[in-house]
This record gives sequence, structure tokens and C-alpha cells, in this order.
Amino acid sequence: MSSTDPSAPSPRPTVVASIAGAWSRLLGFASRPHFLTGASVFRIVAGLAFLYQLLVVYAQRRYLFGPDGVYPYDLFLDQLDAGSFSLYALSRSLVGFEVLYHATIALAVAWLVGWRTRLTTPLLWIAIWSLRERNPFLWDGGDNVMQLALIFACFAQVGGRFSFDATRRELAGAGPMSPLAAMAHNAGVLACAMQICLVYGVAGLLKVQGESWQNGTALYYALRGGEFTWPGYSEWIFENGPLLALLSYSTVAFQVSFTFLLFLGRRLRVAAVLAGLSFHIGIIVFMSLTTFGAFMMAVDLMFVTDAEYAALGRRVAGVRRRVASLATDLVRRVPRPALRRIRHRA
Amino acid sequence: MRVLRRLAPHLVAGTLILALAVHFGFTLLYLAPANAVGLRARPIVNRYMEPYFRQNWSLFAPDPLVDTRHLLVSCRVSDGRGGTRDTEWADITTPLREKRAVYRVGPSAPLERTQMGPLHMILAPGDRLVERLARRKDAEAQFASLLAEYESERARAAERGHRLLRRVASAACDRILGAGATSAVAMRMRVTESPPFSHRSDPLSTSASRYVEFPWGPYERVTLF
Repeated sequence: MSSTDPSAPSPRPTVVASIAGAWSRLLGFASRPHFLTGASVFRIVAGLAFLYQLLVVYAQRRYLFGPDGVYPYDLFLDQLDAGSFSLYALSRSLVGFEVLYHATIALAVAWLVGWRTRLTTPLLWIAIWSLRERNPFLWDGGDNVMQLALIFACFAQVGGRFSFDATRRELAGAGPMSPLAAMAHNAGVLACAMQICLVYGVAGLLKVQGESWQNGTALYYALRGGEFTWPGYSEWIFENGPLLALLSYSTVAFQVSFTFLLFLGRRLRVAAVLAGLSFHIGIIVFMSLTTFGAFMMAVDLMFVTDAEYAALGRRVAGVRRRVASLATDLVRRVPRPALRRIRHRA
Repeated sequence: MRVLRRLAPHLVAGTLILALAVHFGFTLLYLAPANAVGLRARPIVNRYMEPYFRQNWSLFAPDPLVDTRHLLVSCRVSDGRGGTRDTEWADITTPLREKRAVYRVGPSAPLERTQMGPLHMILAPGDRLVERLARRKDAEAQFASLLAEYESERARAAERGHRLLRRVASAACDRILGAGATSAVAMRMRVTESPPFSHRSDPLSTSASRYVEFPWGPYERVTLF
């Protein structure tokens, strides 16, 4: 265009050129996979939580989900929305139920260890969705988050690290991810980020409207009410007025600010992830919302970059080396006869 | 073919960006409080979002519950002389909570949800917007069909909740008295308000309790564990 007549001063080509430049930079960025380690950490933490969720009610599974369980089969069929489905609707037999439940456990294990995640991720979504529809009374916000995150994870590469898939690819000498697959992966991770921002943002803005969150006593009521109290321990928090107000307000502050922290800079993003982790560890310990906390942490852990995970890995390895050399040092300092005595005893 | 290969990254990136924008646009409308745009688009938005993208993030918001709920059951059994007698009320929530206080992980939490879920469903507060519509003088004429649909949906939800409670109670009676001994079940909920924040050191036992009664209903056989 302008190259044919460089003397003609026209602002247009520069605007077009800068847009084209930005677009090609975006394409370049999107063609490489980002947050690969985070996506795998997500898989491992969420996989463990799924497995816990399935196994912790293993003895009660027929009562909770079985054909003659607490949620009646006719109501279950009635309630399946026009657009929804559940594999448990295919058969009313106990054998069918047992096969499905155990297949779900097997799938959760396969997914956790990263075996054929391109296939097992959508299958796990189908299995978990089916179970969720079979008894809709058991689930909380954590299950809701995972239901959505699993859909987005179908686009992402959640088996990139610490997985059977990764080992297989390494042995086969596979090259880096294709640009198109990388784009899908990045879009999946970005969707998880946008979803979790909506979760925190909406939860935070709804809290702002509540009187007890405004006056800083909400956490007292949350910890005092029947389902989430821990007799003998909840009192540590709710009898301490200043601590209680601080925790109530920082809950709201964290939730409302999460989106901005996540997208406005590296240090802020890491701070958001760390705040999210400590927030959910507190929820697990004090409110025993185990799977809720674990599922939320799984999604939060996605948003640590590969370089940051690598640096963390190096630091952990360094600490381990130092501890190991310290141990050998100590052993060397033990006098020989004493060492012989210890060996003799062992 | 070569052109297609060269265009592919552009097309894929464009499609993904568009998909993200549309999906999260819908999600935003779905989650937003009732507003001018949202209300108009509500049917389309709901059709896209439900059931697979259904979501609700009112986690302990706008205010957490301020009471403690316990479910009690009574079982109607034969008195051995051709009549029936009703057992004393048995608290079936406390044993689960006591277990949960000791074993922080375990099946107590999901089992408790089978009791609390139906209670929340029966006692769910109404939709604030719809109830404001219902209070309007011209409500009958303008929103009659909408309000009727809302009321029937609420009634159906409450009926589902009652049915589930009956099954929870039936299973509890079987566990207490042996399978099949019970012909009918009744439930009541004990509601204990938490002491106000200023009296937070008071034990819960000093708070007054009230009871919500649920009527007798037929026993239903449920698989036990």
C-alpha cells in the first residue's frame, strides 16, 4: 500500500498497520501454550478432590445415588430438564448403577494420573454431570465451579505435566504443541480465569449488600450456624471481635478485588492466588467444606505461570539438596563406633 | 489448501475470541441483577445457560444463615393390638454433627445435606422481584400468567422437598426400628437462632427454639447403608 507511494502522508495505513501488528503479536503469543503446569496442577488437585468425593460416600453410595436411594427415581426422571441428561436414567437396575459408579471412580483415577486426558476429560464431565443430576441435593458452589471448569478443560491441555500422557509423548519424542492446539489450550485456561473472576466478583458484590458483611459480623453467623460450626474451635475465631471483623472484611475485599489482582500484573496475580489458597484452606479447616475448598484451590492454582512453577520447583529442589547435605554432614560427624552400634541394632 | 493452512490460525483465534466474548457475555447477563437489558434477554440467556452452564454464586451472601436447624422424625408403628402408636421425636441431625465435629472428613457432610437440602427447598425465600410485582395493584391483570407460573413452580419445589424429607425420615425409621416396621412418618424442624453477636459467648442451648411441623406422610422404602 504505502510502499508504492512513500511520500503520500496518510494516517490510515499506520492505524491499520498497528492493528495488524497487534493482531500478529497476539497470534504469536496465543500460538504458544501458557500455564501448562498450572493446568496439570489443576487436574491433580481437582482429581484428588473428585476421588475423595466419590470414595468418602462409598459405603453410602446406594442410599445417596442408587435406584432406590433417598432421591426417588421417578422424581429424578421428572426433574431431568428437557435439555439435560444423566447416564443413570438409562437403567434402573442396581447392577447398572454399580457399573456406572465404579466406572466414574476409574475415570477419576485415569484423569488424576493424566491418562489420555483428551478423552478422559470430556468423559469425566459426562460421568460427574450424570451423578450430579442423580441427586441434586448434595452439591455446593465448588461442584458448580468444577462442572464449568471441566467443560473449559476439554479445550485445554491438562495432561501436559506429571502425567502418563507427558511420559508417553516424551518417549515418542513428540515435538511442541501445534499452534492451533495451543490456542485452544490458552482459550480454555482463559475461560477458567474469566469464570473464577465472575465467581469471586459476584459472590463479593452480593456480600457487600448484606448487613452482616457490612458490619463485620457475617463470619460469626457463618461459623455459629449448625452446618459449618466446629465445636471447640470455631470459638477461637468468633469470640475474638477484631479478628472476626478483619476476616469478614478481608473476605469481601479479596472476592471483590480478585479480578483486578489477577489481570493487573504479575505480583498482584501471585498475591491473588496466595490469598485464594489461604482463604480456602481456612474454609476447609474451619468449615469442613472440603471439596468446595479443594475445587476452588484447583482452579486458583491454574494461574501460576510455567516459569513461576519452574522457579518454585528449583527452590524446593535446592531446599531438599541442602537438607540432604545437612543430613549427610550430621551422619559424618557421628563417631564411627556409635554409627556401627546403630547399624548393628538396625 | 495452502491458503487455508495460512488462514487457519487467524480463523481459529478469531473464533475462540468470539466464542469467549459471546459465552461470557451471556454469563454476565445471567448473573447480573434484574436490569433493563437483562430482563428483555432473559429467555434467550436462560435457554443458552441452562442446564449446562447453570450457576449461582450467592456463597453465604447477602447474609449467612443465623440459625441452626435440626431434623426430628417420628415413626408410626403397629402397637401389636391392631392399632398404631407414634414413636417419640428422634433428632437425626445431631448424631451426624457430632461425628463431623470429631472426624472432619467423612460422609457426615453429604448425609447432612440430604436433610438440609429439602428443608432449604421448602423454606426458600421468594424471588424479591416477583414478590414486588405481586404486591402491585395491577399485578393480577398484567403479570397474571407469570405470577401463576412462579407460584406453581414454588409449590412443585416444596412438594419435591416434602417427598424427599419423607424418604429421609423413612430411612431413619428403618434404622431405628428395623426395616418395614413403619407405616407412616412425620418430621419437624427445630430452629435455634444464633445468639446475637453481642452475646456471642452464650452457648446455643440458652437460645430459644421454635418448631416447624411437617405433616404425616406415607412411609417409602429406601435403600439403607
